[in-house]
Amino acid sequence: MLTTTLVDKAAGWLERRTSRRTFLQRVAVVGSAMTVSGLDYVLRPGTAYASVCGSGSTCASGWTALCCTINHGRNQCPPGSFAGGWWKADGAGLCGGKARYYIDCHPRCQCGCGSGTHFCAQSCWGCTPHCAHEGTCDERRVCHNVFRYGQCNQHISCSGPVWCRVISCTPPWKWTNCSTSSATDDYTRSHNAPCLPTSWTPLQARYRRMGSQGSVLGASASTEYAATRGRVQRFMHGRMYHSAATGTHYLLGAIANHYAHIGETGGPLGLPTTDTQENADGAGTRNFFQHGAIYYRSGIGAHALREPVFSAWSATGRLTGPLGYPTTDTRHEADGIGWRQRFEHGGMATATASGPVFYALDPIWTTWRKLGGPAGPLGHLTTEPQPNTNEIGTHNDCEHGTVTTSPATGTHGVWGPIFDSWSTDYGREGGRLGSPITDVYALDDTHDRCDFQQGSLELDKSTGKVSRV
Amino acid sequence: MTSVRAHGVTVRTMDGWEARISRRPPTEPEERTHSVTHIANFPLPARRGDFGSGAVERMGRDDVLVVLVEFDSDSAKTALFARRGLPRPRVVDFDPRKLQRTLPGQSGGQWFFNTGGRAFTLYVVLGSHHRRARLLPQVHAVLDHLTID
Repeated sequence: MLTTTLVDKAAGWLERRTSRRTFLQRVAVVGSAMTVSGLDYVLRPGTAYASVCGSGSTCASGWTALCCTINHGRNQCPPGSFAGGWWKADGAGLCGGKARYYIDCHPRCQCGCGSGTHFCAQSCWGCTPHCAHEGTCDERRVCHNVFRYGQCNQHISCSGPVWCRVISCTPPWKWTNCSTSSATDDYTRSHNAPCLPTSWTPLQARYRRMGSQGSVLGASASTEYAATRGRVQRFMHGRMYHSAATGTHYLLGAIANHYAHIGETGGPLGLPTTDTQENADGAGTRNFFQHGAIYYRSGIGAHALREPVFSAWSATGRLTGPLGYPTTDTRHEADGIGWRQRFEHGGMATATASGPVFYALDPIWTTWRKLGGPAGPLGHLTTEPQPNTNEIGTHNDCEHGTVTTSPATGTHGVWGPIFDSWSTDYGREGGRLGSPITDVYALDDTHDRCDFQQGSLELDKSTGKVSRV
Repeated sequence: MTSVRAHGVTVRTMDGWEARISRRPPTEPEERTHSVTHIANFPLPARRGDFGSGAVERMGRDDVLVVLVEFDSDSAKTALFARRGLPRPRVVDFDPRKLQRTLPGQSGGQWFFNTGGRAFTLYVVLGSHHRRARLLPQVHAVLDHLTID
């Protein structure tokens, strides 16, 4: 309550001196500063930006910097170092009022320790003592303090100094090689950095329930920040998103990367509505979103399904249906109106933005696309796979013809007046001409022809007349 | 001399010294807490970190803080705690960087050891690195009157 009142007063003071946009930005920083440093921020001289880092954030304060500050935003031990020990600060606001854990990372010694000491000479450290100079308010020491808490990796008796500190809201013995023997230092409760969350949020609460660094997401690789819609945080193995409308959900690996690639929360899929889940086939993973899904399988990659294709694919049984995994994203046709998408065993297409969507299986899909798809002589698909009238093979009808396949005759497109005649006058595959053994082709400038098992049909383009030849 | 005894640790202190032996209650179900001993020739603040936060900031150049932190007994069998018996620090062991929090002028030293099947770390903070030779006898006097069951 006190914090809220103080933020309100700070906001009021700022509002009288700033534009609305600048005012809102500053209030956000003030709010973060209050969460991290509480009364320290109000009573100490300094800026809100500095207060995000909590108390003792200068080099001269003698504390060690946080790993994310010097490790590309990653809240984990740098390469070549190991967890040497840990302590906690109880009642930490940054961990929802529970304990906040600090894990010291030490460089492995590149030579041994002398007799009677657990620390090797500086020439063996593999890191160089300095003050963090990454341009943030976390200017604490790096690779400097020769001290060890001692509960982690106790098989390593010789180490360098504390390189940096990892932060967690989950006890370290649950996710790394540390004992449960605790040490406490509440004076470090507010120690923080801009690369770590500055408040306790639904996203942070979910991450802790998942086990923090021990979760499938691994260590955090950024702070939590505002996305185009909702909020997001990056992790070593994925990303987590939150909005009031969709809740808090995580995306892993290739799915997370692809979602980011296609515009993340500002893209066509909207916000995630599920976590990344394993597919029933055990071979891939999936995520559902407000307006579609992303499916992933090794060797195929991650691909987005947008509406109305996603709903139509769902109606075919998704992975238990005939099409298999998507092998492309849902893409616009050349006309910028229709949609198409390729799958392992065929494809789906629609002439309009809202459907209906039809699917075709290979080799019909491949042939239809080779013949120009909706921009070719056949036009858009108008049916799903149908059995041929001779009960051998299948076909998909189109606006101006059909693509038909059978084992004996192959796969061919028939269109225009030749198709009309073959269909109406000759009974298609089960009729007197049988199945086509070619596509419609130009015989000369004025004649098109299509060859069938029992003869050919020829179109005189000058008269529009179709004759059997 | 005043004697303080708790959790299997006994400290006898000279006049002007203060000793506290405590054990925090655990805050997590699996967490295990052990004895923490603070001995100082200056008044110890009520609120202290296990390795002296809150106290080291108050130290003058003639002040000494001796910290003994216990670990679970399983740790006694590990390489880190292989050393046996309470260490006897030497002047050369102290360094201004051997501190949990490196404050200007101060010096520190740390040793891991086991005794009687128990695992400990001894951590000593001196108010002045320049005066380490003069302050070390006080550390020895403290350790001479410290016993672990």
